[in-house]
Amino acid sequence: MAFVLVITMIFFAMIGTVFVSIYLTSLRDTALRLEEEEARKTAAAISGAPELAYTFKGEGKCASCVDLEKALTLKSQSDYISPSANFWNYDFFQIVRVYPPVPAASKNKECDRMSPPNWNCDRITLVKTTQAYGQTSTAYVTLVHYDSGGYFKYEIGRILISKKDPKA
Amino acid sequence: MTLKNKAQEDIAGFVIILVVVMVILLIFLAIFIASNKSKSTEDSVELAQFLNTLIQFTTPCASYEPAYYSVADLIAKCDECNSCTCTNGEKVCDVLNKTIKEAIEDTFNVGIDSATSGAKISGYSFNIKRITGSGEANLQNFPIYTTTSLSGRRGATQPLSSINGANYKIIFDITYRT
Repeated sequence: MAFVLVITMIFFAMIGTVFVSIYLTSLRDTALRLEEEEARKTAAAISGAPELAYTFKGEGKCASCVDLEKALTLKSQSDYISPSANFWNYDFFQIVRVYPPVPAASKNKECDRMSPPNWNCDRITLVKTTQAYGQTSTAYVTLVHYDSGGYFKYEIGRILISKKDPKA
Repeated sequence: MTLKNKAQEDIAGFVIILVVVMVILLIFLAIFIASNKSKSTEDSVELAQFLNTLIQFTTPCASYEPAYYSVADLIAKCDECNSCTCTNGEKVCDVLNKTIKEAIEDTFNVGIDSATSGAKISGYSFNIKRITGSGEANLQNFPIYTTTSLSGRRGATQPLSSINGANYKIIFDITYRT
């Protein structure tokens, strides 16, 4: 009888172990996903900062719209973006044009004040304090700029940020 | 009680315990499978953000230049008039289809590593529904893109409120390669 009880207990323990391992795996996946989504929401929230948000009155409210002209102006303001200013508290902060695709000659090319009206560039790096910045969080945002055709053009873009390492 | 009878009782008890345990395990398994099934399409913040930017995207189609339509405008325009054309002569629905397909495939690099998440994306499905008083119907003149099987996917739904008096809903799912 004792032998049967021991076997039964071992059987239960094995089944329990399988269930616990499955549960822990799904818990870990959920935690990773929530962490990723939180990072995306943080990145998206930055597009609403007054320094970047597109707020042209005639166009109505545009959620998560980044004004590329503002971003370029901000880039030229060393008070905001110099590593010592610490205004954004990020190690890395970049805006990338995703769609429509830029010509091959404009790929990986940094935008500057000379870029408009043709915008032959695909990224604006606002902060890059170190080459060894950590993992970046990304969010899709609408990029708005005044096109040479005489209208405001809305494009698909991404914001990439990497928070400062608190231990650094 | 003889030794033989006692052994039979032991075995009967053991079998009853096993049956009870199996029933409990089956119940747990059913609950586990049901909860996984309901999550076969997980809501994705990434895709919701993408859809939000996609509907605002300025298309190359205009009723008069430089008043270019956004994707949201084109959805309503395509729904109400299949034969309508842009100033460049292209059909409104053709421009809508082309823009959405290109935007998705360029942004998510379908078939290769995703630029944003590092995950591999094997395909996607994209559908636009018109919401009416009696229910939902697929948008006429717009194909339902499905490039992959629909298991293990992530998705997002974007409601479009009242464009020219009509309501629409975009359903977008992508499948990450495992």
